[in-house]
Amino acid sequence: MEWAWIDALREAVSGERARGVKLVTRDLCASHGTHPDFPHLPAAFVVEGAAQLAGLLVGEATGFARNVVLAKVARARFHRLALPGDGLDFAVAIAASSDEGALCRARVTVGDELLAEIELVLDVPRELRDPCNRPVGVVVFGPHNAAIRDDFVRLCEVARAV
Amino acid sequence: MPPPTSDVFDTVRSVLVETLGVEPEAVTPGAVLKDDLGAESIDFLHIVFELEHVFSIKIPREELFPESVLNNPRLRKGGPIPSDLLAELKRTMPYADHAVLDADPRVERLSSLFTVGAVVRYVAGKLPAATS
Amino acid sequence: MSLELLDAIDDVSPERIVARLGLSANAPFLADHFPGLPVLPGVLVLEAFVQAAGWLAHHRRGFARSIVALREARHLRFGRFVSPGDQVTLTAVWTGDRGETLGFDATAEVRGQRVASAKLELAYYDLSARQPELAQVDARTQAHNRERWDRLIARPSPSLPA
Repeated sequence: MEWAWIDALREAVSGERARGVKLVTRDLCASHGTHPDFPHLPAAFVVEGAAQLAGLLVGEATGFARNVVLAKVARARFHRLALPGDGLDFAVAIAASSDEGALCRARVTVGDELLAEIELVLDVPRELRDPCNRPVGVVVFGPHNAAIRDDFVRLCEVARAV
Repeated sequence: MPPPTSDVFDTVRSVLVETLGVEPEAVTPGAVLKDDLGAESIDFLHIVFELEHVFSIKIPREELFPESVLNNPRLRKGGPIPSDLLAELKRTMPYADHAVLDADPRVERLSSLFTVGAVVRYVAGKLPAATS
Repeated sequence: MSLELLDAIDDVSPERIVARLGLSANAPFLADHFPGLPVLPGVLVLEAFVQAAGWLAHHRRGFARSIVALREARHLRFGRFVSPGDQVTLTAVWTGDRGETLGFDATAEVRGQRVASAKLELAYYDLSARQPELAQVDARTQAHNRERWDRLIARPSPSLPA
């Protein structure tokens, strides 16, 4: 998958929080960075990881029946760079939500070190339209991310069973 | 513990500074969220979430920023606001700033309802009876 | 290979840079984002902002330092979607320095309609400031930055010889 910025899930509690990981490979730094002599993953992709995990969390709360779109990055503060070999741990929680959207807070760590703190506002639009102004259905969740969605649901069940 | 009424303005101001990226000096009681502070649709949602969190209140959909009233199909761009809708706005949003619309009841002026003062009055009204 | 998001620089002055980014239908991330509604991921607008503001930082500081990295993004709001065939105009305006951190306001538009806007703080530094053994990496990175800039800013004539 080309645009996967979370590699695997570690925890999911429906409607509350989730954890996932993204491994920073040398190859990823080369293809997505612009400093070949000092490879690192640009911060924007860490924001995307947080957004994707938050999107799964908010989406699952709707039964994956609604589109969930990143509408605003209220704040994304970076404390260090993501280097090849780093394992990024994402912890995302829903701070507030309604049927219109959600406010999510994420912490991204590498081992014990804080890499980023990110606050996102996700929109859950009633309708999404294409450039020709035709309504589209649920496009954010589909066969392309079925595997990770299934995994999210499984982890939620594990959390409930405890 | 919700803050006493006299601090509501300060807290609302800090929420608006945080959510709208404006300077504290710009957040005056008469400042219109959209026209003066640059608030957009997503910011109104963000503001609701932050107010709920900071004041420990629940803001039901349509109560603070009632979209269905504002998007009423009878409100035509460039036209006047029908007097019955004006009355409904007053009834459903007693906390809002109606002065501008009273003088100039055009659809373009609807945003003037939502001032910093309107938010402060709404929040103060939602807080349990506080010591002043 | 690297992620050069900016297609051209239209204007640069000490306070402001204007650049162009085009979304082509065969961009690799479109297959996943989203099937049935191919649109530019918002975080790539953020990365384009960082790249544009980064060039303005280099322009202001005479390429004196090698690394440009995002320290903080605030109030990053997304407007309309960007679809294949859209040409995005990106503008970054310098808003002041705080030591090694440079501030910028950035906006992106398509045909006069707002796509995104944000406030950015970029760190601008040399690796060797804290790690003297990395002076060579700084030197190579600086040379690479200048080359990339020269390529971006050059305006070879498209006309064929008579």
